[in-house]
Amino acid sequence: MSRDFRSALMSADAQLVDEPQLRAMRARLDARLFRPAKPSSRWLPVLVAVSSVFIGFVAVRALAPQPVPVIGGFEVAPAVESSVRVSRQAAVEIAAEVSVVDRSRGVTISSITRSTVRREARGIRMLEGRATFDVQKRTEENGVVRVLVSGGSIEVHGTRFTVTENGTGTGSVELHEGVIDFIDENGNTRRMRPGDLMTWPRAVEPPSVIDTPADEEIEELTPLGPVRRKKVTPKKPTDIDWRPFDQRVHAQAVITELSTLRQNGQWQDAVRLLERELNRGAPDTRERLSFELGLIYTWQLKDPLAACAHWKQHQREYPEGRFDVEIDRASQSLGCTQ
Amino acid sequence: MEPVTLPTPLTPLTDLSVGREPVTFDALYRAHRDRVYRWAVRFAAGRTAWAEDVTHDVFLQLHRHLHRLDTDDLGAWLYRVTANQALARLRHESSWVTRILKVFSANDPVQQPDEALERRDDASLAMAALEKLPPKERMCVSMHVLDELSQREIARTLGMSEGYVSKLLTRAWDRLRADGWEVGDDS
Repeated sequence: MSRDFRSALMSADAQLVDEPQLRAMRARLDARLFRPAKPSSRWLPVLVAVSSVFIGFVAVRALAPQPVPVIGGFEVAPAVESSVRVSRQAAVEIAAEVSVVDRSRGVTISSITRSTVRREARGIRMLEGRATFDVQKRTEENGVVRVLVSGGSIEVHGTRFTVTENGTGTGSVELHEGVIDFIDENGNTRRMRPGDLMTWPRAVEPPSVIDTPADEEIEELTPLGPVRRKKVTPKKPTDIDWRPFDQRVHAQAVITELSTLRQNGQWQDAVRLLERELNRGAPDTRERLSFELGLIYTWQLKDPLAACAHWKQHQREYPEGRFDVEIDRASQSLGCTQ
Repeated sequence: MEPVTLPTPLTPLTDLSVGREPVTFDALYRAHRDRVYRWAVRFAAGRTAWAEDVTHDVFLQLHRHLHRLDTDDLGAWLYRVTANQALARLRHESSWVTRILKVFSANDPVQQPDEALERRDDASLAMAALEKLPPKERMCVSMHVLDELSQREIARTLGMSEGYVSKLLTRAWDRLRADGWEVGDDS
């Protein structure tokens, strides 16, 4: 016998839900929908992973080295950032005793006086001032470094040297270590060795400190009377110096004469000059002259005994000296014992 | 899209408002939960726990989409979501994995001897026959017979073509006839 599906289904539908069932459903559904929200455990691993990544990111950012300030293409230590500024025509003015780095060329410039330099396509132009250039050893890949000065250019293969640029077309370069080529405006190249000093334009024959007209002036200016009265306790002529000279002028005269002696290879005369002048002038000048003397003993005369003794004496007199780095290197190369 | 005609009109939303206060989810839930549950029980062929799950999911959907719902069409929206939630669950149940799990399940209501005894009468047998139909056919038959929806309304509610709904109903009637049921002339 066939049965009517529609009426049977509607009859079943009418019996499907009753009031007690609805009340129970409401209570259960209310509890499910309105219970306090709890964090879903399935998201917990994701939450932990995201938090870890975030914490890691923050830690890396915090521990990462702070970006080095770059001024005019030179890196500067943050502590001395205020001592370096860009001046005219993209040149960088560096205060005295401040270092900047040209990272791409591997050059550290340590200013001795206020100096002005500029990065150019051909090299680093020294516009004014006095600064030591410390150039990393060059390879075939990075090529030579050129320091451009008013009198030409200096090709560097990895060394340490000091450039003085007076800003008036005159200046000098002193080589402390390694080898450099000085190329003047006419294209003439002169290879320099440690201890060499090169000036531009070509240095005129300087008047000798001893045999110059200045001595005549000194004779005229020296009061003879008092000297004669002191015959009872005579002193060595070198110890007596009544000349009313300006220390700076005198120091410059010594440097100029030393330059001439160097160019002529008169190393013994240079030693005598420096030994004579070591006890004169301001402390800074004396330290500088002592350093120059040590360089000559080390590189030109190649006398390790004299050089080591001199460096030892120098460091006793100037324990916090300006040339400690160079002196340490020279001492090491000579094998000096402490 | 034309609104779906529902067998039992829903409470107008304006009646739920108090003064000018906006309609809250809580108010909508309390007004409509019984109706949603009844629809779900029909689609579930009497399984109350299953219907509760569907009702729960429907109101979660309502909570999620409340801010952008057209409140004038809320009744049709609830019915459509209930039907689709139910269909999705039925299709999941009919997957081969679920069927295998059912074999090992001790809680299969069809396998319970007490229920088998209760379904001796026609009403229970009709509900059991409905439950045996494939999910889509079962939804179409339930909506057509119990909610008195036309084929067009079923098609719109479930997102199917009218022709496909017609084909599903024809197949369902054939199965029921083969099972010894009289399904009427318009079928």
